[in-house]
Amino acid sequence: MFMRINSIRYNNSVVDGPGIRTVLFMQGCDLHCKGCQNRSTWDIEKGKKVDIDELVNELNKKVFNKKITISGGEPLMQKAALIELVTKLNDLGFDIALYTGHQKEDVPSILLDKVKYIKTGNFIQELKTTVKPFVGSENQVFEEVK
Amino acid sequence: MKQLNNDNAANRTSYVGYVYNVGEKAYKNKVLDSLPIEWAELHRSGAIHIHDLDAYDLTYNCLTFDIINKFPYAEFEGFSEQGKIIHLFEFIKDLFTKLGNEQSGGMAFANFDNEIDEILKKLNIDYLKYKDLISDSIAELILWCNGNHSRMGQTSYYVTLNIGLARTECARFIAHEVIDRFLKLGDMVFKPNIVFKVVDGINNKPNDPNYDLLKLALSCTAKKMIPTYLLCDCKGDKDTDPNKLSIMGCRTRVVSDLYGEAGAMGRGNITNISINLPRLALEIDKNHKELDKEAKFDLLQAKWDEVAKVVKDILLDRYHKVCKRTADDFPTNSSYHLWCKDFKGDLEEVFKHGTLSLGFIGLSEAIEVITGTKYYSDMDNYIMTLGFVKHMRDYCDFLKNEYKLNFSLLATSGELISGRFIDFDKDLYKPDVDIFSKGYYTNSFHIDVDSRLPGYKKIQLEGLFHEICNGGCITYIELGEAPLGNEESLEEYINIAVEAGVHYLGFNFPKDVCNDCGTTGVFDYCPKCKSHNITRIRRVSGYLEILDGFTKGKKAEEKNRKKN
Repeated sequence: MFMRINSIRYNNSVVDGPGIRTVLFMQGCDLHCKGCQNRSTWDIEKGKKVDIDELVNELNKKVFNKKITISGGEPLMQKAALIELVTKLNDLGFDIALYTGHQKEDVPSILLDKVKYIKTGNFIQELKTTVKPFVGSENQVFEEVK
Repeated sequence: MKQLNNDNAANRTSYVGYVYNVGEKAYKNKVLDSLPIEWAELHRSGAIHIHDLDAYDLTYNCLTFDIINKFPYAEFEGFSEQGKIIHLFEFIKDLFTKLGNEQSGGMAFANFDNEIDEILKKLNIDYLKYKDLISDSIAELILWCNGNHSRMGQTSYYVTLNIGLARTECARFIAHEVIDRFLKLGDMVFKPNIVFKVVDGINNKPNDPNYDLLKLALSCTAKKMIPTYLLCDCKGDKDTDPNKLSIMGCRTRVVSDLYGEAGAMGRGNITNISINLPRLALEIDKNHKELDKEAKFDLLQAKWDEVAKVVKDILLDRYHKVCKRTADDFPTNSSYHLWCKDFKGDLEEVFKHGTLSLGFIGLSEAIEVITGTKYYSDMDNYIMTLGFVKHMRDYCDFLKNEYKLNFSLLATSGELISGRFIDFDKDLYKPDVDIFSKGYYTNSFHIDVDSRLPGYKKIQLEGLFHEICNGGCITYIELGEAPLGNEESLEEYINIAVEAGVHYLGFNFPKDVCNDCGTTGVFDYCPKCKSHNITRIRRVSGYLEILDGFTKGKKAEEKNRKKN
C-alpha cells in the first residue's frame, strides 16, 4: 500500500511528545487551521507517494530510539494507510504518538490500541500556548493512551 | 558611566568597576611588558591568549573548596539554633565574596547537599525542626548569587553548586530545595550554576535512591537550562570516586594528582593559556597550499608544538611566580584551609596540587582550513582530527612527567577570544573556505553550532574528545526551544552521553522573558501582552547571562545557533 507524505525530521524533536522523537509529516489536511505552521502539507495531491513497507524499513533503520510522532497535515485523511503504517511500526516495537486535529472519538479504535500517545484538537491561533507541553494551543489535549 | 570594555557577559557598571577596569588594563600591559618580548608578542598578536593576565603573578584561577577541612565551628558557639543556620549561610556568602576577590576564577562546592548536611549535624541542628528556615536560606543564597555584582565593583561571583549524591534525608532535602527554590524563583534568576552529578546506583535509574532528585533536576533544566550534568560514569571519570568529582568555574576538570589522591576536592586550576588553532591552519594554507592533507596535518602538529613549547614556559613562569606569594596574600585560604594543603611556608606545597592547562579554541575552523571540509563531515577527517587532539594531550602528559606538575589539556570556551582571535586573523589571511564571515571561532572542539546534526550524533562525535581533554570540556545540545514537560528526552540524552564518554553535558535553548507580564518563549515581542520590553537569556561559557551583555564573538555565535 502507498501513502503520501510531506517530510520526515529524524531524531531531533523534543516538543512532539516525550523523549527524543522523529516526526513524520503526512500529506493532506481537511482542517486548514488559521496560523498553521505546515501549510505545505495541506494539498493531498502534493508531497511524495511512498510505499509503506519501504517507509517502515527506512524508519526502522534511521530512527535511533524507535520513538516516532506521526503528524501532518492531518494523518486521518489517509486512514487505511495510517492503520497499516501504525500496525507495522507497532509490530516492530515503536513508541508511537499520533497528532490529529480531530477529536478522540474520530480516531479508529485499532489505532488507539497501537499508539502510546495521542494529541487531539485543532489549532486555534487565539489560544496559542508556549507553556503547555506538546501542544500548540490551549484547547488541544495530549494524553497517554497505552 | 560608559563601560570601558565588555570582555565578560557578567559585567555591570559602577564607579569602582570603572576604576578597576582602568587599573586592570594598565596592569595587564605592565605584566606583558615585564615578560620576554617573544611571549608578549604571541599574546598581543592573538596567537595565544593568556587568560586573566591581570592575575599573572598574583593568584591562581579556580577552586573546589574543601569547606569541611577547617570549618570554623567555634565561631558558632553561643548562637541559638536558628542563629546558627542564619550564620552558616551568611558565612558562605562571605566566603564567596572574600574568595572571589582572592582568586581570578570560579569556585565550587563539590557536594553542596552532603557538606551542608555534615555541617548542620556538627552544629547539632535537627533539620526537621527548621525546614522552612533552611529552605529560605537556600533561596536567599541563590538570590544573592544572582543579584550580587560587587566583585571588582562590577561582576558576579562565579559559583557552582555540585549536588546529587545526597546520602542522608537531610542532604536529600537540601538538594531538593536547591533545585526547587531555584526553579520557583522564576526566569530572571539564573545563577548560581548548579551541576547535578549523575551516577548509576545513586540517581540515574528508577530504583536508585535519588532518582527523584534527578527527575526534579531535569524538570528544572527543561525550563531554565540549569542544572547541567556531570556524568560520573563516563569512561574518563568512572574510576574516580564520584564524591571527589566537581565542576568549578565554567568547565574546569581537576582529577588526577601527581601528589595525592585523584579528585577535585581542595584543588583547582592555577593557570591556563589558549592557543589559536585557526591561526596555525591559516599559516599553513597561506604558505603550503600545495601539500596534501596528511602533510598539512603533520605540519599543524609541528606548528602547534612550537607554540605549545612557549606556552609551557609561560605557564611555568606564572606558576613559579604565584608560588612565590606568601600565605599573607591569601588570607581567606589561610583562615579556612580551603585547599587540600594548608597555606603556610612554601606555597608550592599547596599549588603543586593544582593544574596548569593548555587550552585551544577553533578546532572546527582549523580543520576546515587545511582540509576544505568540516572535521565531522567524513570519517577520515574525524580520525585525523582526533589524532591531532590526542597529540596535544600527549604533549601535556609529557610535560606532566618532565616537570612533575599537573599539566592538562583544556577545551576552552573562549568567551572573549572567540571574537578576539578572529578579529586579528581576518585582516591577515584569505583562505579559500569562509571561516570569518560568521564573526567568531567555535568553542574548543565543538561541532559548529549551526551544524543541525541530531543531538545524539553530536554527542557521539564529541564524546571521544572528552576523554582526551582532561583539563575540562562540555558538550551542549541546542534544543531550539524549551523541552517543557519532556524530562524523558533529557534523560535519553544523558544516557547516550554517558555511553559516548561525555563527562559534562548541558542543554541550551533560547529563552526570552517578557519583563512586563512574565511570559516566556522565543519571540520578538510578547505574544501575550505585546510588550517589546524583553530580556533574552542565553548560555555563554557555562553560565547563563543576558544576551545584551555578550561579547562581540559570542553574540555572533548565539545568532548562528541552530537546533540539533
